[in-house]
Amino acid sequence: MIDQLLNGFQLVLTPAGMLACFIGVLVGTLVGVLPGVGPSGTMALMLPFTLSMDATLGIIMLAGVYYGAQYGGSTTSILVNVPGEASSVMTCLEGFQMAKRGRAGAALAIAAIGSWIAGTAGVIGLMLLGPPFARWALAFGPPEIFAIMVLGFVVVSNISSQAPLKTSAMVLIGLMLGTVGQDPIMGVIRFTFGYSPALDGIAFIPVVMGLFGITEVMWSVLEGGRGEVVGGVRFRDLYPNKEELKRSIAPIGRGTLLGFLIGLIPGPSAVISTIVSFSTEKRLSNRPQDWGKGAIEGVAGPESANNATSSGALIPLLVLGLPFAPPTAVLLSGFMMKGVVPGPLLFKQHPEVFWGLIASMYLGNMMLLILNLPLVGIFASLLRVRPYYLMPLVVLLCLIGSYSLNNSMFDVWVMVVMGFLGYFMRRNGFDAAPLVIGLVLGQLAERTFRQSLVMLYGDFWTVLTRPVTAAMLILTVLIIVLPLVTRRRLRV
Amino acid sequence: MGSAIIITLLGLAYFLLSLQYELGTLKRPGPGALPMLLGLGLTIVGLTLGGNSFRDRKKAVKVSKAYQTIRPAVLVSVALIGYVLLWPLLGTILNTTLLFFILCRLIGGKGWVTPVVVSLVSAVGLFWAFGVLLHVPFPEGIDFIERLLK
Repeated sequence: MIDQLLNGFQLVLTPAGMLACFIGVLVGTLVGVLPGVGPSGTMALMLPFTLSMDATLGIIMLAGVYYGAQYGGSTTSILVNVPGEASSVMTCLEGFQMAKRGRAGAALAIAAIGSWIAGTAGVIGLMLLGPPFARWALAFGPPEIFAIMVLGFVVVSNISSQAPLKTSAMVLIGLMLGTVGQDPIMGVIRFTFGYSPALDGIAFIPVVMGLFGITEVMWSVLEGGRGEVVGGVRFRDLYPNKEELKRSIAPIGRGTLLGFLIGLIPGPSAVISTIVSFSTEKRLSNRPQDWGKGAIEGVAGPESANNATSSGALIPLLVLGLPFAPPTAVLLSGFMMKGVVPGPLLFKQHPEVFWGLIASMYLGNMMLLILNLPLVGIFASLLRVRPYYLMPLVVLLCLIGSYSLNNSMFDVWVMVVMGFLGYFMRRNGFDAAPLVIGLVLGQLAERTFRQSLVMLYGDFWTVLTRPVTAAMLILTVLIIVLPLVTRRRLRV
Repeated sequence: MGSAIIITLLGLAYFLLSLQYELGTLKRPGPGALPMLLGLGLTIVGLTLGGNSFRDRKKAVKVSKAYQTIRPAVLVSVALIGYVLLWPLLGTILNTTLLFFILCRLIGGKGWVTPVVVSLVSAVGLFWAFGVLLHVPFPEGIDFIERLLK
């Protein structure tokens, strides 16, 4: 393992490797800082730029945007009370209160240090757990993969929003969009209505650009607003005092562990991990009087949790090839465009990609710490960029970016339609992320579903003789049934 | 309620369309099997959503702000659709400058000179990044600036 990690560092510690990593984390930080521009949409926009790059370098850059955004999100939460990312919402609660008390520098420093510790610990977890999980996953056949996907869809529907039915509808619509074009077993053309550009199916990237780029812009233009910056932060202010440091150690540790474990669960794990970490810290705190007035534990815990989550969420992608969150789904597209298939065989067929990514994450986390502490004032000043200049630029990047993927106007139309749909979906309380997950996994879900039935000679109950499949399906049934039983009992 | 009806209709339409493909058997499912199940599933979800919102209709709070933003939303939509339609005619730089400027003004940009300059610089920058650096073959229109850049 050490040898392979050293090989990874050899690849990353080249001018090209360091530049790819730096661009990724820098763009990630900028994206994290700017509200309305998310990591998924930005990663999608960066895909064309990775086309001419080496596979490992392209993946390193895209991954840098993903985990870099978790760092940047805290800056606006603390200084402006506007979360750059959904996963930074919890940081607003105590971070902005600290800023109002003149402790913005300490809050930013703890957020950056906590993020660095959690990010680095998360990479160690990924490095230690990834290869053994992959060896285990080598024994999985279509029924196991299909059962894991079904479990993933049900978990996404049940935990990602307060309206599981709406989320289920989104997953189903995503799966339906995935059936447009050739069917994955017999090559039968479906749902194209004779329109030849749709033969290859609905590409996933324009959908992401529409749902996460255009929708976000429309939302922030038509519904949102911007707060006021609390004040500038000088470099010498960036020192938490001894007490603040002491109070942050345990929340950082707990946030890291919780974040990594929650990252393994399908769904918007980064957001969930911050909520769980925040409520855990609040419950465990022996200074309840500080909460709501700027408790540093409320910054240290959630900020560590969201960074650890980004490493944990990479495990299902790298080990099984199953992305259960939009940013990892874009990362999967990045892998596919480079001809690298994530899954159990990744570690054997492309060890350089896995270990290069791991090494780049160590380096990237260090770069982010250096970037985020002294340059925090510069990043915060980005908020002064007028929305009427920034938003048109994002829209145009989405339009031109979606065209450039396949040089096809069909993709541009898909992107525009998805942008409108996403906006109206959001207004009616529908989350776009499950649709993206359904679309990405649609073809694989159908293939494994049909292969499983062929393998089992149509006898569904045979799956119960396969331990992993049976366990996944029983868990799925429990997740569906338990809340219904509990609700009925509560009514009685 | 409106969204529940749309979802139900979508599920139903997809279900009916899926019937034109071979369903196969349990031992050998055809290309229509999963779409049929998905259509059926979405129809059931839509009906349940409709039932729930009918049951909770008294609890529902009417949002007065709901359609305040319709006008800018429609204008942004028209600008985007116009951009895609005009792209092959106007070429990338002219079309991009136009959309940037229109969006800039719609979102709250004031004046003429700065928005026009920013729009033009952004359009040239985007064309240079994608068209020149990444060699993306954009639709050719009447845009003479692109020929100069190439």
